[in-house]
Amino acid sequence: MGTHEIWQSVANGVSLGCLIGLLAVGYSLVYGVAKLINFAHGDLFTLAGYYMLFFMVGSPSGRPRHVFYFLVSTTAVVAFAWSKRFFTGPRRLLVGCGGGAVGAGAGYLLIGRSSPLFVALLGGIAFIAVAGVAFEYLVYRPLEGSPRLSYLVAAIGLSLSLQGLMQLLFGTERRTFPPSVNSQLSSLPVPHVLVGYFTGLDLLIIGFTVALTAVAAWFAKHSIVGMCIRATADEPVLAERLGLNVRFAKVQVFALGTALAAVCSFFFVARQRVLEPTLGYSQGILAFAAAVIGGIGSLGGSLLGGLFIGMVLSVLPLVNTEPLIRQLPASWVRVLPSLNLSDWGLGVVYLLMAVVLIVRPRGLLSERFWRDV
Amino acid sequence: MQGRDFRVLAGLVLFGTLVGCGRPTSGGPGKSIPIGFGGPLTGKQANYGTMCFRGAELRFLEINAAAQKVGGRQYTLLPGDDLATPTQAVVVAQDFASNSAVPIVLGHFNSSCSIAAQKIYDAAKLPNISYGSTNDDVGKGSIWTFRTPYKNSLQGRTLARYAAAHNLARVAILAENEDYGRGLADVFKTAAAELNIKIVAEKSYDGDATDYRSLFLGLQRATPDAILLAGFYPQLQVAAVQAREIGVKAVFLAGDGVGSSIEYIKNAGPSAEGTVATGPFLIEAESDSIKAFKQKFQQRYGQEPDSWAVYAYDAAGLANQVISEVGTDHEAIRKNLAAINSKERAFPGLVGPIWFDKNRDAVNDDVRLAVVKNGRYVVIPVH
Repeated sequence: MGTHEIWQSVANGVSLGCLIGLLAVGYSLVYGVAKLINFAHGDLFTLAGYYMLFFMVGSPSGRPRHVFYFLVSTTAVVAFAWSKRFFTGPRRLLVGCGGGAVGAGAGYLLIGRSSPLFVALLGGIAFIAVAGVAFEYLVYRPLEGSPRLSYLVAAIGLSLSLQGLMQLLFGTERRTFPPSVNSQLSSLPVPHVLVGYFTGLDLLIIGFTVALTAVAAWFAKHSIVGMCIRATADEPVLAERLGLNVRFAKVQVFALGTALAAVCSFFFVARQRVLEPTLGYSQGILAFAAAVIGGIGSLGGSLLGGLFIGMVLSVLPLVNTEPLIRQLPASWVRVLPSLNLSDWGLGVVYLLMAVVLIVRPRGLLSERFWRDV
Repeated sequence: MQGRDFRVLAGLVLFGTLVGCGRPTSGGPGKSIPIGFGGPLTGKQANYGTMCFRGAELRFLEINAAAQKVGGRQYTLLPGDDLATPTQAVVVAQDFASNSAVPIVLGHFNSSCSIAAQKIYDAAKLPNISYGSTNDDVGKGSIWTFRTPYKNSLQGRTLARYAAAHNLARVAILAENEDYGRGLADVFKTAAAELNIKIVAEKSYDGDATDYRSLFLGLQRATPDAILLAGFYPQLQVAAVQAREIGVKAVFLAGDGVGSSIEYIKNAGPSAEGTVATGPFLIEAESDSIKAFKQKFQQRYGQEPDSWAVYAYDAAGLANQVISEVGTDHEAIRKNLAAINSKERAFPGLVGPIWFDKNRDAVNDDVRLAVVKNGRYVVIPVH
């Protein structure tokens, strides 16, 4: 008895850890450049889930239509911001309106009918990246030059506003993608040894997480854009003096980070079958913990941190502490609501985070921020 | 500085107007009696709360329409949204308690909310009738609290008897970490001990958990014949799907947090099949009076009511009966409700005769048992 469940738990921990890790990679990416703990990252993750859900379901009336407002307003903001390079004065407003029209057109195409899986996925990724850039422009950019604390408070404010807005527009009930999404992805072929432990969807998650983390790390280390971004992260003033477009580097990194959140959101909702406005909060905190454990700013470290947390959360329930509890004096049992270790999964995770912070304040994998990605 | 003073003044006036608008003063001309309604109108359990609010509203609309002809009492139902969280329930309770025109409160739905709010009602000496809480301790807590549904212990016994009758000797428990879930798990354990059913493992989860696979794998190690799902459907509809996915074959037993809502079946799909749940199952039982209610409800709101709507409908009727008899004095209302203490004096509700024991809990054995078959609850006999 039992070994089968142990391996199943480990497998579940790997898949779960990848989902947490991928979200944490986005956190780290943004932190690495903007030196900003973007607490709204988790809520953009949730918003991406709603985008994709409503692209899949597709209906011009009812709640899906609310996504339309998001599409129109975020694209309008981004177009307006971008137009600064070429225009001044009222013509910028015109470009902004043009952007809004593009958003409206895309919304019409994507929400007007139920889109195929890939269209919904790519549409979700593209437009959540637009939303990420729009929020950067609206919320973080006006704070340029302010103390770090202002950024932090603004990020928390943005996170809470997005949560409230999503509750208002999309309702608070738990939703999920149509069942066909999961069955379609899960039915992908799985090597014989892994059957019973991983579904096709799990393997997709693991593959995409590793690949995307590697690509993001390569991009940051070797591409020209990445080098600019790193230069910006290391020496913002010097980078600017050398003629690098620091702002544009930040914009790119926000777009990339939120796009990663969107991919993660797709896999998360497909696998866990939960989508609710407060999802980004609970998952975002876990991802943040993962990034801190692994060393925030280090992409590989964040992924490892995620795997670590996933494993703890998944394997802990197998530990049976009940015989131990029965030997304790009754007065103890009454004080604590539960002495069963499995009920303390999150507690253990945060305890470990605290220990890591004490022993290695910069995280397990981070010798120096960002430089060794 | 003058301009600034003006702005402050304007702001104050605007603020005052908004506050004034937000709170319609009750008890003015028209003599409509405001009745408080506490329940989860938004939040994860909004589905329950809306059903109940509509059930109560329907009753008062009927009463108002009938009273209009003879110039009798009119009622307005004041919505108090507790978000299914005890902290918000306290805020709602304080709101009702500070409104001296409110003679009675219908609420709350969740046991944890009723238990939290009853301290406020107790201090304010405001009678309240819970139309949805089933935790055993709800009535005991205050002489001002009455409760119309059955108690969890009855659900626990019913489920344990089912398990005993079907040779489900090894049962594991998955409970939500709050009053209702823990309460149901506890009463099941008590009943199981008497029937020689072994509790082989126990796990709990929080309301915002998303991964239930690991918990089920933990339970699975103990090879249970059945798993008791003690919680509410928004979480358990997800849990059921994930459990079947990792190959859990055990029978699911569930309380009315699952059994009283069709959403569980709708969202869990094939994974819900075979789940055995307790609940009122009034709608499924289809008595004549319920059928008439169902029709009225559907006509007005365009959706099928659930059983909790019936309980709220009855609680509203009970409130009206009491107020018609003794007026709006709080103490008189409490005494009148407490005097409904035998079958002869019972209030004729749709759910059956409603009367209270010395703990102000309704005396009834109105728990039915149903199994999910082909996407519907099919009522089966209780053992």
